[in-house]
Amino acid sequence: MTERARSRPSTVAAVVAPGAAALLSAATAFALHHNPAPKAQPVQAAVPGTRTDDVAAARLRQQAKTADAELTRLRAQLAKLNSELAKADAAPVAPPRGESAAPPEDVVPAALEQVAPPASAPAPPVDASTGAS
Amino acid sequence: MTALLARPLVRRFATMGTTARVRVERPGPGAERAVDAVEELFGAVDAQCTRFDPASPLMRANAAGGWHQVPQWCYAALEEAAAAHVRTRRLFDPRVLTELVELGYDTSLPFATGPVSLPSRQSRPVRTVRVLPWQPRFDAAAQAVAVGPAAVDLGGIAKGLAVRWAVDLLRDSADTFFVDAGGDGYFAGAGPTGRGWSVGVEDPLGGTDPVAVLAVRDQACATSSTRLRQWRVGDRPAHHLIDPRTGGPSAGGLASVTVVGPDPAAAEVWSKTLFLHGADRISSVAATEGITALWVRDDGALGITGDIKPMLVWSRS
Repeated sequence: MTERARSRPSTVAAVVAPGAAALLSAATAFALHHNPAPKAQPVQAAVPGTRTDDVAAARLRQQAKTADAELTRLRAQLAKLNSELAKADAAPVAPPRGESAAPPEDVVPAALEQVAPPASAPAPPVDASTGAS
Repeated sequence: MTALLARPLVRRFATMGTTARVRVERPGPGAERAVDAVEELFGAVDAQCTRFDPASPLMRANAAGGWHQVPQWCYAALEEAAAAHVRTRRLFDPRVLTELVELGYDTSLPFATGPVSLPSRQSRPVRTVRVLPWQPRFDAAAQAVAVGPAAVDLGGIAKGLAVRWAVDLLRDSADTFFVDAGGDGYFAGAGPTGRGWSVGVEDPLGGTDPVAVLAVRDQACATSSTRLRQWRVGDRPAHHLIDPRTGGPSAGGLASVTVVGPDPAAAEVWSKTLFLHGADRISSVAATEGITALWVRDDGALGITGDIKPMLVWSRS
């Protein structure tokens, strides 16, 4: 296994867990920001047949419902991110610089062809010739 | 003192469609007899391996269609050819005889006397693309071989082998000599000047000056070129270096390839094989196979492998 591969998390969960915690805490902050704890409000008029506490409880239930919906949306987003991370984990890892993969079979060693140096004088006398096969 | 002033022993003789030359510097007492043996050897190899005589052992083996006993040089040459076929991944293929005959090279053509032109044929020559490997069978005990079904030509490799065997005959009586047989040669010792034998690489495009001069010492030197053995069939040019992949004369952009190495037969095989690989691949194939080579492209440009540089004493600008 390469150094880079070793340094990668071995499972998606290891990556996802901290991400999920962050998202959940973000969801909570979002819910609290948009649905702050209810302040005590003066009751303008009592509705016949209801009590003030019941009205406050109903409002709180509505706020909890909204926060639940937001949490569901964030969970869906988290699931999508998990899926993308899993795909990235399954993709082949390129060899790091300086570490070569096995070469293709048809690769030949570097060509050794050179251009012969130019003549600086007439051809010297020869003992024999080769050419007319 | 007498030995130092002794004149070199030089012998020329016609053989295998060319003129062979043997030169022995400072010949000792047995040199004359050794050179006689070399001349006899060339005659025997030629007689056994020629394709221009239907009664030669090679042509009888070609015609046999099965097992056929052949004499020693023919047997050894067929074995060497089979090994070269494998070593070159089939690019060296003696079965191109059929294509040479189709191109009109069915008799010894008078290349030395000038341009050769053959009458045009009614139909284009048949081209056979060799797909299956050549797999002759050998029986060493019986000195028999089954070459078929296709007939084979041993022209080039037989000449390289004759040089190899001639060197063996000369070694006991000389240390500085060369044997040259029209493109295939071996150069033993340091030559007359002590700096190696000076070997001119002929210009394949017809110039009178060599394209390069090499200092060769204890090495073989072989050149495959279309300079001499080329002809015309009607209006179409042809030459003897047939590419078994196409069944036609090689058209790879090279005019000649010279290979330097320890063995004359191997140098002959590789010069032909590199020629067939063509200008685009010769450098990489030579590097992969560890071949020392020099080549001339069709446009006259000269290329070399890095390891021939120390031998290169002169080259054309």
